Amino acid sequence: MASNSLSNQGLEGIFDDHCGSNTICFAVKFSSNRSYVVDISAGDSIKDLKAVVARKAGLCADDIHFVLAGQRLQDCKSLQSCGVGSHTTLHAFCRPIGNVSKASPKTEQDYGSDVDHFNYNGEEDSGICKECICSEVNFAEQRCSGSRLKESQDVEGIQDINSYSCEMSRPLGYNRFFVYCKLCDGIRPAKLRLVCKGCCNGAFLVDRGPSNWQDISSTTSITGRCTVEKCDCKTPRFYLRCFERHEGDVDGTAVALKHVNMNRRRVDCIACGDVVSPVLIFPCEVGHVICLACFRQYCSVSLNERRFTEHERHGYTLPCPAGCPESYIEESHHFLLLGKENYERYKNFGAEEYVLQNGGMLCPAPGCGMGLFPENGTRLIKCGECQFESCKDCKKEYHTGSCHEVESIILNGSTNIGISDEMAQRACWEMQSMNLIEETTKSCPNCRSKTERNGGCMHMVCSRCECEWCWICVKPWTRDCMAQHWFG
Amino acid sequence: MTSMEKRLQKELQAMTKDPPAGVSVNTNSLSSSLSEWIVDIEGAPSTLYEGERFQLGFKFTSRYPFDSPQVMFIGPNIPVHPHVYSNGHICLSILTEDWSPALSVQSVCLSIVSMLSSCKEKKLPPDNAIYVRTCSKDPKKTRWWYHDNSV
Ligand SMILES: [Zn+2]
Ligand SMILES: [Zn+2]
Ligand SMILES: [Zn+2]
Ligand SMILES: [Zn+2]
Ligand SMILES: [Zn+2]
Ligand SMILES: [Zn+2]
Ligand SMILES: [Zn+2]
Ligand SMILES: [Zn+2]
Repeated sequence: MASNSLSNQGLEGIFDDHCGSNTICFAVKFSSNRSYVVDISAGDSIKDLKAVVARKAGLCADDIHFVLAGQRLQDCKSLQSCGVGSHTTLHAFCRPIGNVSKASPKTEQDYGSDVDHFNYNGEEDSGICKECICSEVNFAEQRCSGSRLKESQDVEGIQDINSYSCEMSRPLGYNRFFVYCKLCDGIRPAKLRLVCKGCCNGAFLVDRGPSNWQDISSTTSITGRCTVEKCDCKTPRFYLRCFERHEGDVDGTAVALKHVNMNRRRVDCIACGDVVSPVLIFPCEVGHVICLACFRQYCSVSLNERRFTEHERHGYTLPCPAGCPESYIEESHHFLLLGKENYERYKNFGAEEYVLQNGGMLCPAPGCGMGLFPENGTRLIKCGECQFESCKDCKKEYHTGSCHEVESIILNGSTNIGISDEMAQRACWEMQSMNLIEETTKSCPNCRSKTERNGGCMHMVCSRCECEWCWICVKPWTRDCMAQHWFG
Repeated sequence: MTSMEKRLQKELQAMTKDPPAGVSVNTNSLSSSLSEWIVDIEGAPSTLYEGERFQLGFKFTSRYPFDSPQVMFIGPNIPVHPHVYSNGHICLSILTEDWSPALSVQSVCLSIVSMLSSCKEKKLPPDNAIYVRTCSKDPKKTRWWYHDNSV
């Protein structure tokens, strides 16, 4: 009892701006696009709702059916227990009862345990999480008040959302889904929605709830039935949308962050040791957990040291900081958490890495860095961006004769290529610094990236291509190097 | 608070509350930012280092724990050991290449204690003389060629 009044209070203050505390008002939308606004008590049953809608629409109450979360709502249930609340859009369709076959009841076990969230202990008739597979429900507002309270007791003592609430304008329950929302420009909890893949109708009945990320992908194996009469599409389309209410078309403005989850098991961050939520969970076997603040730091340290790797399936990415096998971040959108400026750097570095790994080179003109793919048979590479002509072999300005003879041409400034004044000025600045760093840095013999020698021995390991090379020979490290000049 | 500060506070708490055998943080040595620590360690009983006391100096950058701490023996007593140079530098891969944020001051100390314990003969590393003359002050800047661990 006490807990009920507590959760109601919380909700009232925030959301019930024009309805009384027990009255909810929401829209009922038919596939025909007719919709009706309904004012009704939250304790009323689905049957009561049918009567109200039947009167408004001039239909027979028994022919009306409501769909929420891909499931048909049953007459005896109350609106509250189905999770219908203000701002819900309830999808409806009209069909004589004989034509609607009952969806076979599922037990919780049918949904697997991959996605904990779907093991919702709610109504047995649905088995699908009522908190977030809702066609138009903002779960934190209305539906999940019960389980939210449970969660918040659960996470008591955890800093939880406190450190995070500045980014989030609303309270948060347990949420499995997070997106990077381009409209909010930040990470947000998300709502999983589904529509008919064929006609985009929201009143689509699914045969089972999703239990993992594959299930909600575009190649889902979940089937169902569309309630639009002429549509015989059998496939739902799941999508995630930002928790915040955004006006207008939000399609494509939120990208899923599959490794981000609430920290329900209260695992310490691998870096700072705090227990916070949400967290990022690496896909390594043990599932190392890192808080988002430390994840940002890990990414920016790794970015500065070029420790990202180009992975054949997941792109330019990072593994678990503990070095676990098979632990790469599988979706590059997670690096949006780095913030705009660093995400741009991330993308540039990633593009460079891609070029280098695929046999290309970067335009050596100062300030350019354009990715170039040399054609076979010629040493001359012309940059399409800045027109600089370079030598494929020594990665310097194009020259005749052997590469060694011209080693210092660029440093001496005897360039005579058609570049703008501004570019020339910048080039000089760059050359200044190039002169200064020349003694302590050399280029990796494999990828040409500048490497600084920090004292110690002559055995260098390139931080970009991992080539092991000798500082003195500027060639791959050998046993001879070890024997002859391991130390300077 | 940064990751580094939070993390070091937790580690310090754990190490002072429940210190592993033969390892103790010298709390007088701590700077307010916790970026430098001194840890006293004792040679384990029935090993070549029994009864000896050593000091390890830890230095942490703001990138800790993504970046390994700088760890070396300091003070008057440097153990004579094939992986410990006479200037205190330690050749131990978890201090550089094999560092992981899942490791901690405690696990580093325990590795060093066990490295000492497994030693069969007190002797300096074979390249000690030249290394000590040419190395950088910061052992992390050494590109270690890890010695055979069976030594
Ligand atoms: Zn749930
Ligand atoms: Zn929901
Ligand atoms: Zn948003
Ligand atoms: Zn359809
Ligand atoms: Zn953390
Ligand atoms: Zn891991
Ligand atoms: Zn160019
Ligand atoms: Zn050349």
